Amino acid sequence: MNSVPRCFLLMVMLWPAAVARADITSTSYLALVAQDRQIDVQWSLALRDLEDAVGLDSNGDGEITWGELRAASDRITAYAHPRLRFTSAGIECPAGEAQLLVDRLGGTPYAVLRYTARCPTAITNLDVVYAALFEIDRRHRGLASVTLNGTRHAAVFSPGQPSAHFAATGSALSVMRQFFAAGMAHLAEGADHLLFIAMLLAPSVLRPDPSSGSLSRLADAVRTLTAFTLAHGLTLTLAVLRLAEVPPTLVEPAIALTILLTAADNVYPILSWPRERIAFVFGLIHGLSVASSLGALDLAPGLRALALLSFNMGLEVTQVLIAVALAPIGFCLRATRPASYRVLPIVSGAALIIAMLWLSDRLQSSAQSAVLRYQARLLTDHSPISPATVHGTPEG
Amino acid sequence: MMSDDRLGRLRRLACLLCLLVAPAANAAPFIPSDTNEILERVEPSRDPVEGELRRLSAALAIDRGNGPLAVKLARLSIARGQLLGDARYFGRADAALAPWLNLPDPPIDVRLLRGILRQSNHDFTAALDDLGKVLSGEPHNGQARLTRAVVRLVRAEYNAARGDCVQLIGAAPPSVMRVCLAAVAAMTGHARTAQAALTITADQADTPPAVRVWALTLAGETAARTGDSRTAMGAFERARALAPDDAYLLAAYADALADAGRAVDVPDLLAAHTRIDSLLLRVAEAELQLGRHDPDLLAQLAERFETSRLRGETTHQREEARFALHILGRPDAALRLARANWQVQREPADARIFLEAAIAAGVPLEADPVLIWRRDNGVEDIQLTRMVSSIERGVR
Repeated sequence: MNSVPRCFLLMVMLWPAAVARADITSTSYLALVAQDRQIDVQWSLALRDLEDAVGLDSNGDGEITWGELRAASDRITAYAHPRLRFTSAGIECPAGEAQLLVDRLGGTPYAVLRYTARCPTAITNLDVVYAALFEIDRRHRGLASVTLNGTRHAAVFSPGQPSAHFAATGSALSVMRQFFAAGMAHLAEGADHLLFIAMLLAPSVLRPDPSSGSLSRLADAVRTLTAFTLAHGLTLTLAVLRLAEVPPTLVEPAIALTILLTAADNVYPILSWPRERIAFVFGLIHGLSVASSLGALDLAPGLRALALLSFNMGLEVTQVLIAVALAPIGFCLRATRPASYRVLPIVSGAALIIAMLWLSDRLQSSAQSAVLRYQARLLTDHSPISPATVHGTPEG
Repeated sequence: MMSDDRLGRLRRLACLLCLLVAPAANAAPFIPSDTNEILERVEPSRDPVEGELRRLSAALAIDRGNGPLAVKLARLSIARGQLLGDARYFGRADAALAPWLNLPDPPIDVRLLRGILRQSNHDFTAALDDLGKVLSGEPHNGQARLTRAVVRLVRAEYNAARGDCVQLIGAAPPSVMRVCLAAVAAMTGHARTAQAALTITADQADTPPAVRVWALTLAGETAARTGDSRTAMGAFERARALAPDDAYLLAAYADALADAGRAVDVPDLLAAHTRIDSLLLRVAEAELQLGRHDPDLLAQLAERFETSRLRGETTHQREEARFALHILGRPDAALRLARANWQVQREPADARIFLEAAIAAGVPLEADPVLIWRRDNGVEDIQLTRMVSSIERGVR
């Protein structure tokens, strides 16, 4: 009785033994372009693999039509997105809406997903975790071509190697270019930094003081800005090297406070400091917040120093550009409008209100996260497997 | 003679140019305009074996640790992959057995399948280890015995292979043992005897269909090697009537046709199977031999070998060497691949590409291992004989 199925199995198995040579393999292709804060993803998955993973052939006739593929598009993205994850400096970059296309690669039909993943900060190092199809086919491979800030990398994902790390290394020149641009972008994109700079410079540009000419005012502005950049660069370096770590829950409200104080000082002198000192002291605080946007800076020490220097240069150049752009406005105002002395308090007053709103907003979210952290700690303290219990258990 | 050579070189040059231009021309994802456009053909889910595979993998998905279920699914997947020449089914078998695959001492039925899967990955040493352990526990395990015989045959360990064939007595149907012994005899100077034994076995009524296909394929290969192309074609045709999609059979048949000056029949024979890399290669070789060239075909082939290279696969080295020599006209690269391939497998086809590449590269004695293997075992193969005598003429 039993010998019949055994014999049948043996026959079925004969061929693997005899020649076991099968050529058709399963491969997906990933083309990633990561620049600034976004990753453009083009992911090609073989239709026959997607058929196994999510079922495309809805009428079961062995033919997959474009209509059937399109109808499965939600299922495909629901399958694909969780199986390809990006993190930049440890923070997840969520995937955006995907567009579905079709391609033929090596004569095999593929579905192509195109979408953009957005990271919270500029991408300096990127982790990719790939887990598609491995649960079905352990010989599946994901072939990735990754362009990170202009430099190309390649990776092969397999069940034994499902993740890859890409760092913005490359040549000194590319590091310089990249971080210079990041410095410029950081200032241009951060409303709070721009407002702070504006408040720092407003008096030297707008204050009606006939004794000093436009050039000396500009020199004042540049000196103030340089003091800011120096202080800013100092804390930034300390933070990136992890010599100084201040939680963002403190830094963010503190930055709002610096804007508030500077604006208030423009209306009524409460700080009685020279501008350079204000710029320096408050710059120390601003530097701490930039560090989080730079991430862990996964570079060789020499390149890291270069990157920091370039970043600060980018920052400084942008600041000077802003000052140069603002100065003529102030000059024109003073030359044409006798009542221009009113401009400074009006502008500063507006900034003061904005800074107050930011401050209350940030204090509130800091307080919330403090509460959350406290609750989380309570939970872990009461969990049954805390380190104390493990160590406290006697052997045997 | 001379002009033929020059013509061939020109053709290769044209091919190379096509390869450079063609991929760029057809590589762009698109959105099909017609909802009813058929993009892909898959195994219909109505197919009973596919249905069974689906049922088993669904059951295993909710019961990952179920050994008997995993073994059943893996067995069925391997058989299916074998039949269709589709390694994705081997990957499914890997996935089904994943919890046991890395165990130092897995259950015996898992170990047997692991040995077969390792063999399919050309990891012959590890495969032999697994099969040996299975056989020391179950000396009458026909599947393990037969698989080991074939692995040893592929590695040109003919005495050891013969020993395994003999021990198939009582462990497998007598026809299996006869074919096994004939396969060894065909390689060791007894081609005519082997040929007769294979024909008799194929004609016997009680020979199971799968064994009959095996016997006929071997008979075809052996006849082709002894220069009896009429008998060879007859055997291949009979085998094809029984197993029209058998990838190994089709490859052997196509090679025999091309050698017999019937390259013109190869594209039709393989038209429905070009999804399999090694068969697409044979179509390209035949087209080239006929003086036709299809840039799309060559571009496809180039893409597939590129993918295989990026995947880090070495199971394709024989085919890659043929691609390098026959399609790209790069004897040095072909020789490197063929030499590496010879370290892993030593079948007549491996010997042939090694020798061809060495001659084309102008260093025929580099293929010394092939000459020694041929002489020591008394291998009969008219193509090898032709090349060896041309070398000997050259040396004298």
